[in-house]
Amino acid sequence: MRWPASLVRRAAEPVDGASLATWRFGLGLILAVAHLRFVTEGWTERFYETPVHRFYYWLIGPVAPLPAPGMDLLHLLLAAAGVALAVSWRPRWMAALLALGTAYADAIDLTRYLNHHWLVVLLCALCAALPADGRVPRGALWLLRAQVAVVYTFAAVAKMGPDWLLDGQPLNTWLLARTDWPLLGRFFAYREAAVAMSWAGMLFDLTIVWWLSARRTRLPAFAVLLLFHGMTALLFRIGIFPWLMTVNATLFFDPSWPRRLGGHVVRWLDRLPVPTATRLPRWAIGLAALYLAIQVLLPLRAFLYPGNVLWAEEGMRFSWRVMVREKHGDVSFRVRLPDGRSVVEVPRRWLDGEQEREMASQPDLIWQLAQRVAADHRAAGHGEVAVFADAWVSLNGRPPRRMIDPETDLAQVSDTCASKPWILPGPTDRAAHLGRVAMAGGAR
Amino acid sequence: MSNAARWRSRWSRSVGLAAFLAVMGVGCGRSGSGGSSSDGWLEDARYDRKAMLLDLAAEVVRPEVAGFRQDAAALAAAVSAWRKAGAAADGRDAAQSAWQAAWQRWQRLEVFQFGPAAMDSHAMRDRIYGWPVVSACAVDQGAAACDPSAACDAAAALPNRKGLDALEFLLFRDSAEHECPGPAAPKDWAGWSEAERWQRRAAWADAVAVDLVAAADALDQAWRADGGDYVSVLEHAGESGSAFPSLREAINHFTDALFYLDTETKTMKVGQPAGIAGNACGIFGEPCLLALESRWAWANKAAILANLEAFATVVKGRPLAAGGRGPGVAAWLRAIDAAALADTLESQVDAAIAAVTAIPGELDEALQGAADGAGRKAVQAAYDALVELMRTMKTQLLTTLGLDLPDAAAADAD
Repeated sequence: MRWPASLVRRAAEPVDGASLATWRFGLGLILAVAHLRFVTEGWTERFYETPVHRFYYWLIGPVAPLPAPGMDLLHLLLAAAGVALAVSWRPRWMAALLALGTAYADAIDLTRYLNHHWLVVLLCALCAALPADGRVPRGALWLLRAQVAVVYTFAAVAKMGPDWLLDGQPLNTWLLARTDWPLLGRFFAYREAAVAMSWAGMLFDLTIVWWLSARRTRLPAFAVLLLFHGMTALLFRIGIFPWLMTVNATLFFDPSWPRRLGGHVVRWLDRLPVPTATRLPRWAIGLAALYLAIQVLLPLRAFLYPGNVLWAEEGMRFSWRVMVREKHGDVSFRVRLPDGRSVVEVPRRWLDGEQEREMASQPDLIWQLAQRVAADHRAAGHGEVAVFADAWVSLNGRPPRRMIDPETDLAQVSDTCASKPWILPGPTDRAAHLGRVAMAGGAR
Repeated sequence: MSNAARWRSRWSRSVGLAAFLAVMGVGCGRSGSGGSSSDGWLEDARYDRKAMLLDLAAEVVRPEVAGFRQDAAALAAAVSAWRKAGAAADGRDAAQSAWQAAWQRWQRLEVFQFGPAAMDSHAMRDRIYGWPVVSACAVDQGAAACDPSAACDAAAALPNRKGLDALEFLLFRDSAEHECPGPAAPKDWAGWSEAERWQRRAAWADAVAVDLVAAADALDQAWRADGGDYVSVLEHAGESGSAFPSLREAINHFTDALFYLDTETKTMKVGQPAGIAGNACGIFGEPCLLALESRWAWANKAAILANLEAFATVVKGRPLAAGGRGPGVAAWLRAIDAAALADTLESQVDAAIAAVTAIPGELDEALQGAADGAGRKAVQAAYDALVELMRTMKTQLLTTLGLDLPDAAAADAD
């Protein structure tokens, strides 16, 4: 077992913490801006105070928001923590605060789940756990790089399907809606462009970590990364994700790379405290290995479920399936009273537009709302009602088809991590082929 | 690692990166070669979404808004004439006809609640038509507070005391009794003679009609080319300083309004009165006339058909004088190779219109028939047709056109 010993030795080697400090600077600033946006965009009121119903995570259960203006204050506190992390003021405590705060805010309503919020929680948790002084064990950098590699690799795996690679969906649909883009917009009108960009996106995700890891290819790879994430930032409303991944890419640089910037940067880095020892205990390596195993197994769980994960969504969350499907659903509930009479309930009674969009294409959320519908009818004195979902979903431009068995009383079934037999099989036909729309404004 | 192995490793990485960059460039490379729109590869089909949006706005919505202003003025004149003629309950025929015309047109505009009508939480729309927030009692309270010997002003009144819905009550209610529960009864109402009650209602109707004209005028001004020129706002979508950051946002703003057909038309105008959906009566499976939109003129079917006709215009494009159709969503779909969806959408619109038309008599009459009678069955069929149409709209249509549900696009995604 020589190689593990050498691996452990190399992981324990102290390296310059400059790149880590610079990464924290970028991460902190991004998170500061992200949390400020929650307040300035009025999202705290919209996401936490207005909704009549909130969806919860399996195993966690309902999480209540803080009473107003508590959520505003929380996001302001997290924004301040982001700034503190950026300037390396008590960085591990600040990172812990950001991890817990982000996890709490996200747990309030499952329909607000975003892959990049989950990534923020993980990165901040790692940041809190890892040394943050002037010199750090090489293994700390490796762990962060591995986390980033997991994200890119599983994002690539998620793209390895016929919709993405053969039909260019959902990029085809998204690009068609952006043909008014200057210069490039005219090419977005063609399906061929979507297919080419789909392949490029998959190959980018699959290989970028390797290009960044090799000294010779690092700079051109970083240039491509800037182009890629810059494009996605301009094309799609995906918040901090492109900037977060750009900052994460710097983790693959030489640990001392920021010192080449000279001047104030070096003086700031030199002010960071240098620890007296950088020993890496064996339990820490074991813990890191366990963490990585979980990070790899969590996305892989999607393969344990039958059918298309993009349809049934079983194993979809926490598996880095970023921007790989366009789904729209139409759901109503038929409530049957004990005396046999029935009534149709529409989701808008409980949900806002954003919640409805998310719920309508995700079976576990449809089940959660069915449970709420049943509970409200019971509370109104209607007794043990049966609730049936009339749920139709269009995946990647296909004609809508039923997603939930209309004969299953959702009030009577429970939610487990096992595959749900009441989810009907997904489509097997090809995704929509769209294209050849001309440039906006061109005919006027 | 030997030098040779190291060299092979570097070589393979470089080749790999080059291949990756080449693939990245495929889209731009092929497209770049056809930069001119005269290039055959780019020219094979054209569809201008902006032209469609502007045509619907300038040639459908704007003329309807202008027409409604005229209808409102005609209605105000008829109401004024009724009042001056003595405000007899049986002298309202002309005013009722004028109301029907204005109502019919407004029901088409209900589906176009975007732009000026949607600003300030739909304040301008609510001033013209406050449904579903309506109260016959509030209207009678307005009438009771209106001295028939003086000019009343409805400008500051709450939306549930004025607008087309208030005029419907004032012009079609047959009884001189007020509509308020005991504690809310208008003061002195019981002491007034029947003639005096009608005079007060006519005076209030006059004031409401004047306010309706003012509101219709404001809406018209906001649309007119020599006024607010809202068409120009849409035209400049995506430009610096525009109200819309992109053309897509402008189209989404327009299509958001079309979801009126889902919430209001399908659920509130058909589903709830028919007892298919939960309603104000709380009796499941049984009709609820209280939930009907028009409870005095009983013009519900006409309203639903007007909503559908407006939606059909968006789908099919407006009829052109020279024959054919202007640009619409179906043509857009065909231009992006989604002809099957376009056909489905058009046939579902036609089916929904046919199903509503097939309801025997008025909606309230159909609902009051036997549970297994032709009327109730026809209403159920109309509801089902609307469900089918809205399903297509909320699922495949939104997906295909890359649009969002109303209020669903403001936050981040990934």
